[in-house]
Amino acid sequence: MKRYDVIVAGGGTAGVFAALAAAGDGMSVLMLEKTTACGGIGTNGAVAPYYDRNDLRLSAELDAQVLKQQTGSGFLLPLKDDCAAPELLKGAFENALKQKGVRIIYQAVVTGVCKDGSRVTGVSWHDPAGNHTAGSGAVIDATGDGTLLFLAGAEFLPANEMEHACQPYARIFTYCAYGRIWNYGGDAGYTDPADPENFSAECLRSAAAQLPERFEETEKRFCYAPVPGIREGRHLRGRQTIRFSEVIRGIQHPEPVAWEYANFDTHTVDLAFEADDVFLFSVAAMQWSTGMNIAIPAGALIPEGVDGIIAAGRMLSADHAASQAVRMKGCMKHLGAVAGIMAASAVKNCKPVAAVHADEITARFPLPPAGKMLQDNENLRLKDPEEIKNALRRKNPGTAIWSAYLLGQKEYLYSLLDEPDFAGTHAAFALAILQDKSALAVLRELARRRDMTKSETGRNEPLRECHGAIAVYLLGFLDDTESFSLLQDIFMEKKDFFFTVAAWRSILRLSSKHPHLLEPGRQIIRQFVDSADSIPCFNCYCGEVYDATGKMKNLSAVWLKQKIDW
Amino acid sequence: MKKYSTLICGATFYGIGQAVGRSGTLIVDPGVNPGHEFAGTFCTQVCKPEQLRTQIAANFYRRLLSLNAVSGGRLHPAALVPVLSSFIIEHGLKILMDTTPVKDVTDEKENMHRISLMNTGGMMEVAADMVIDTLTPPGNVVCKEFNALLHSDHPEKIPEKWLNPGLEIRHTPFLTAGRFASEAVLHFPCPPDMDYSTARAEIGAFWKQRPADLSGWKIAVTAQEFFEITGRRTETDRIPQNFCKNFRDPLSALDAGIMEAMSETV
Repeated sequence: MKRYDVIVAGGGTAGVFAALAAAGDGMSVLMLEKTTACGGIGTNGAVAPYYDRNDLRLSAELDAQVLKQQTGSGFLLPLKDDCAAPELLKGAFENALKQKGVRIIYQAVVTGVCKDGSRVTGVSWHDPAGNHTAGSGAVIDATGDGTLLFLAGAEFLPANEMEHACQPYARIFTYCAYGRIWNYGGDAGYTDPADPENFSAECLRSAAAQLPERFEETEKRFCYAPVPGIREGRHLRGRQTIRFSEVIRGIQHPEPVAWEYANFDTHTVDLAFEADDVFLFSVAAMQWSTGMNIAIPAGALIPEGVDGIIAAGRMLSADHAASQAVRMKGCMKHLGAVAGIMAASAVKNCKPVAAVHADEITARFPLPPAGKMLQDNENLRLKDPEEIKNALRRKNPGTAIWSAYLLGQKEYLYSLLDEPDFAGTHAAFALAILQDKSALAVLRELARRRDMTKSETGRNEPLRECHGAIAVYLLGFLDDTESFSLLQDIFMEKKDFFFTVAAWRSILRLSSKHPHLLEPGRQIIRQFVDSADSIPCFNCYCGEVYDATGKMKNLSAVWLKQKIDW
Repeated sequence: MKKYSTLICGATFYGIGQAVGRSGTLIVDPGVNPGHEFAGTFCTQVCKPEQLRTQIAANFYRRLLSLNAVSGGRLHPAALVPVLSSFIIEHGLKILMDTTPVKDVTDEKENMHRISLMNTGGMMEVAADMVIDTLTPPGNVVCKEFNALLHSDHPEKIPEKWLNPGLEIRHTPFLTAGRFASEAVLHFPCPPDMDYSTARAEIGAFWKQRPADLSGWKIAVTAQEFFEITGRRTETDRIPQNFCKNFRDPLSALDAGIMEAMSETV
C-alpha cells in the first residue's frame, strides 16, 4: 500500500493551503479533490473576495502573482479589480502544489478510512481509475462537510435546536457583469448536505427556480459552479468549541491559532426559529452586521476520541449560531495552513495531533497580539450610560442596545422609556434583553399598533425586522401571558412575515410554559396546521421569494405531538 | 436495501432519457449539475427539431426555444442545468446527486447488482436488476478536448478558418459560435492521457499567444470536464455502450436515451 505522510481530503479553500503547508514542512502529501480543479467555490464559482481578511502570507503571494499576470492573459477579469482571476488562480494553486511535490488526484471521492484503534492511519477513495487505499501519518479533512471525520467515527454537534436546519446555501452560477466575470450567490434555500435525498432535491429545485423568463445576452450567464455554495453542514464536536453565547458576551478561547473577523452573517431569514441568543443579539440588539474578532483554538480542529485526523474548514467545532461567523474564506485558508502544520508536526514528532501546541503553530503563522484583538472587540462597546442613552436615541443605535445589556444597569434605561421615537423603543428592547418587565408597556404598544418602523443596522441599512415584530417576539421571551390574545390576533391576521413568525413562536412559548394557555395555544396551532392557510412570504434581497409555511406547519405538528418547550 | 429495476450512473442527457423511458429507476451522479457532460463542456450545438424521434425531446427543444436559449441551431449552454433540473422535477425522476457509484457486485444467485454508493451521508448500498453506466468511456478515446467558454465585449464574426461547424475531429484548436453573438467556445484538442492541470496550463498558454484575429475574445471559464469521444462522430454511428458524450448535442442524447429505453421496454 502506498504511503504518504499527510493525506488531505478536499482541495478547496482550506485544503489547498493545508497541502501547501504540510508539503512546505517536508511532508509527502496526497491531495484528493472531488471536482477537476483546486480552490473550491472561490475558483469554481468565481467567489473571489475573501470577506474581510486574507492575512495568510502564502495566499496573499499567490493572489499577487495572479494579479500581476492577469491583465493581458486573455482571461476575463473579475468584477472587482483587487480580486485575482479565478481561472488563473486554479493554475497558480496547481503550480504551487506541484512545486512542493504534492500529488493531486482529481475526481476523487473519499470512501473510507483505515484505523488502528482510535487512530486514523489511511484513506480509501474512488477515482476514475477505480478504488484505492493509501496509508498516512496524518489525515486532514478539508471536505467542507466533514465526510472523512464522519467516516472516522467522529461526533458532531447538533444543528439549530428547533428545526435542525443549516444556514441557507447558495446555488452559484457565474455571469457576465460589465464585461467581467462574477458570481450570483443569492440564498437558494435550506438543505442539509449530509442528507443525500434532501440535498439532491435541493440541487434540482434551486437550479430550476433560477430559470429566467428568457435568457438574454445582456444578462449572460456563463455556467453553474460544480459545487454549491454550502454555508453550513456538519460541525465537529471538537476538543474545544466556539460558542455563540460566549463570543457575544466577550468570552473567548485563550491561545488561538487563528482569528476570524466577521459579523454573524445570518442568512437565515426567520431568526425567530433560532435560539433566543441569536434573536436577541442579531435582531433585538441589531448586531447583525457588527463584525468582531473571534479566537479559534487548535482544539476546534481536533475531534474528541479520534486521533490522526484534523478538521480544516467550515466543519470546525463551532455551534450552529457561531458557525455563521467562522466560515469565511480568509480564515478557512488560514485554518487549512494551521491544519497542515499540525499534521506535519504530529508526523515528524510521532505524537498525537492533539499534542501539537498552539505556540508551535503561531510561531509559523504569527498572529496579532490577542490583547489587541480582544481590545478591538471591547472598543465596540459603549460603557458610559450617557453615551449609551444618546446612541439609543438614534435611528442607528450602533452597539448601544447590546452595550446596555452587557453593562447590566437599568435605571438610566427606565428614564428613556417615555421618550418618543427611537429612544423609548430601543430602551425597551435593551430592558427586555435584560429580562426586565418594565419594557412590557412599550412592547405591547408596539405590537398593538403593528409598528412597522425599522431601525438601522451598523451598516446603515434598515433592519429586516420592524419594531412591532421584534416586540412580538420579546413579549413571548418576557413570558407576558397578558399579551396572549394580542399575539393570537397577530398570528391569525397573517399580514406580515416577521409579525406572523414572531407571534407563532411566542404562542408556542407561552402555551408550553403555562398550563392554562396550553389548550388555547394548541387550538390556534392545530387550526393553522389543519387549514390551507399560508403565511406571508418574505422577498429576499436577491429577489427570491421565501415561503416558510411548510416549515412552520411541520414544526407546529411536531410541537402538537411532543409539547416541546420552545 | 432499496431495490430498483435500473440504476443509471450519470444524470446525463442520455441517462435521463433512459430514466424517462423506464419505470423504477434510480439515477446517481457524482456532481451537482444534471447535464454536466454538455453544460460543463460548453456545448453550443443542437440538432434540428425534425431529427428528434420522441415527443419528449421535441418538447424539451421547444422549452429551450421559448426561453430564448436556442436559435438557428446554436445553444446557450448555461441554460442546460436549470432547464434539465426543471425537466427532472416535472417527470418525477428519482435521482441522487453528489453520489458516486464505487462498487458494482453482481449477485449471481439473486440475478441482480449490488451497488455501493458514496455521498456526504456515507456509504449506502442499493440493488438493481440492471445498471446503465453513461459516465465511463468505453474503449479507446479517439478525441479529447478541453474547452473554454469565450466572451467578447465587441463581438465580430469569428473568422471561417477557426470554425468547425460539423464538429469533425480535429487535432488543432477551433471555435464554435454560441447562441449569443458575444458567446463562443474554444475547443482545445488534447492527447488521451492529458490531465486537467496540464490541459489548463496549455489552453492558457495557447490563448495568451492567440492570433490577432481572435484578440477580442477572452476566456470566461474553462471546462469542468473533458469532452471525450469514443466512437465516430457521425450521425449514423452506433452509440458505444451508452457513453453520454458520444452524442453531438444534448437533445440527440436525450432522444436516444428515451428511444433506447422504449425499445427495450416495449
